[in-house]
Amino acid sequence: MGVSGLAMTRLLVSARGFGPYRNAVDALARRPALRFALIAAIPVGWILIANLAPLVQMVAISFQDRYPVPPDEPTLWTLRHYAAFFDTPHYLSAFVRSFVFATLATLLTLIVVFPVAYYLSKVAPKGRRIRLLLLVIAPFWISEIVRSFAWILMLANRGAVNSFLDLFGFPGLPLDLLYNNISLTIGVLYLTSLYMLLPLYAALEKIDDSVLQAAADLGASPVKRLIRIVLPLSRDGIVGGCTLVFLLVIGLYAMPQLLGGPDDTLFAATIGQVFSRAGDAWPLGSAFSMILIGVALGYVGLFALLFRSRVPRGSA
Amino acid sequence: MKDQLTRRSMVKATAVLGAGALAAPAIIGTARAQSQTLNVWSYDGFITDEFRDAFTEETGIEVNVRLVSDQAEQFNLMAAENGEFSADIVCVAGHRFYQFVDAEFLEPVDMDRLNNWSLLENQYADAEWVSRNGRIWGVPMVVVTTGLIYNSDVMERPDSLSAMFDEANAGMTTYQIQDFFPLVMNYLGYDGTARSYAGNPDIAQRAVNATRDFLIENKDKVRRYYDAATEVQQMFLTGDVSLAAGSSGPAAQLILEGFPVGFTIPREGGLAYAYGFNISRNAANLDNAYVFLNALLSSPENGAAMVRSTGFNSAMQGVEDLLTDAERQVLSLTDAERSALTWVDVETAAFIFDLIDVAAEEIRAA
Repeated sequence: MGVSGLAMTRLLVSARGFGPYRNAVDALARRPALRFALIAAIPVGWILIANLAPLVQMVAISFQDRYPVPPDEPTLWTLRHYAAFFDTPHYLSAFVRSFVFATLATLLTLIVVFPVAYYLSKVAPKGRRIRLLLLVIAPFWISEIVRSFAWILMLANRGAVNSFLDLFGFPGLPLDLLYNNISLTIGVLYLTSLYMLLPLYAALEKIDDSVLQAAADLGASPVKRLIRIVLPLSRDGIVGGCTLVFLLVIGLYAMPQLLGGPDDTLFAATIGQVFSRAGDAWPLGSAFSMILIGVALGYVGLFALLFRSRVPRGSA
Repeated sequence: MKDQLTRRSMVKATAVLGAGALAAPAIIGTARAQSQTLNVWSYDGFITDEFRDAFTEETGIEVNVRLVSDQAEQFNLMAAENGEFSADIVCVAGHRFYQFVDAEFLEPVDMDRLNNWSLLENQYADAEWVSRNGRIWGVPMVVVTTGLIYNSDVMERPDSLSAMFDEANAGMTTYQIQDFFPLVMNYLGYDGTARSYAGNPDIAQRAVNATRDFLIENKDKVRRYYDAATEVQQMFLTGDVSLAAGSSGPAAQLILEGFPVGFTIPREGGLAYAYGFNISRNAANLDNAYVFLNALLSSPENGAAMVRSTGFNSAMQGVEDLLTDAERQVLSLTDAERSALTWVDVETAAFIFDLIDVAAEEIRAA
């Protein structure tokens, strides 16, 4: 123990003899609820200040007639920014497009990543699993923007894919691979796969190998084992991964801007455009943000509820 | 003991400390006003390191530059600062500065303190687009012209905006919606400058709606909507587009780099506007701001560097002499092209750009 540590211990020991301190410690020992409240105060305070406070402010701005309100004028409250969303068909179409795209992207990510997670957690030799997992995670140490530019270089008309196909005399080149649904889907899949992989890996690894072995011994085919054992037992990972990926995709801003085309504008980009408008557009952007957050959370909540209610725990 | 802390001396010390704490904002504010610094928001390439170092050495004023990328970014930052602006000088485009003026973000230029105003080219110093409500609000530095950029290996020089909507170019075009919108209004027979709509917002709204619907109908011709000039350059380099509506800057840079690219003003016309520096309202370092702007105007070397960095024409005298023949040739326009240019009228631009901003969001979302 260093000098400062020793001094601190002496201080605490001497403080033990200090009446109010002793009373406080004794009171905490008697009341576990108070102990918990003290320990939880910092994380709860952090969540309230860092996460909820900006949202609360955004809710308030969304109902204001204008923002910022000039110093000498009163704050007027209105619902017109919410009404603007329903009055403008173009905003609604971007909103619906976002939900359809996010749902399909989530499903696709699940379908692509599930076999990878299964291989890493069940098939790969135990000694190599962590190394293989690190190998899969490594690209995520690079930022989303840089990875998007990497895909631009791959998919452009003079990019790596078209150049490679050209070597073999592929007809109809260059293929339009960039600035459309193809490039956006590839980019999103690449971006979100980690958020699907980790919950799935954690869930699949917990499945006891002897259960799968027993099913195989009793004659269950691989497909039957997947449907009757693996999927039900990994449902927490599936729900967790899908929730994470869906919420990530529904709020995507930069990647659709870089890889998407004119028909791929997602609602988050629309909100970004509103906020970027030079003028009094913050209340409108805030109202749109609240609508997106509210509907997205409701959608995900419904999904989790349906999934859990259909497959009760321990049904395998 | 004489040095012993008594209750009386404790009260006195507390009173002194309290008074000091209360006076601190005023003391700090005075110090801030008198500091030898200048805070500038600028586009990349507008202020060279050489100029900044020489300026600091000569005047003792430290210039802190924060790079910005677009007008809305600056507007929203200033809106968030709500009158307590961290920048003394901002960099506003000529066709957008009315929004900053109307939001009371800017200080009108005191011409008595800007001695080097006469070093601007006459056509820009006397232009009506630097003023609003009868006052001058900034110093124009470079002049932007918007038209068509085309890949000269792939297509002939287009003479009309119709090339942007031609089936032959489908999927190979790109544009920045807000900048392209007034040109399309002209193309469709409306008034892209909105001069004729002054006092008739309903007619202007109908023209904007019709143009918006036309652009939505022709979305299939567009490869991508871009935001920054560098994105246009990138798309030409990767071969993803062969025709773009854009400004002269990125085209000039590509030509000087040797890429097969041309720039032209279509017969329906193009827009012209300036980028300049403006003083923020109640700027903490107002004196330093005027010293800086006078120094900028007296430095054609920095002006030439600005031209090379942006590809735009300079508004300052003496800059053209410092450019190479190739640079002068790339930046020049024919008489016909020059006559097809329209300067954005800042007195009427206010309402039309507000309408266009909303239409642009709807086009993207559709």
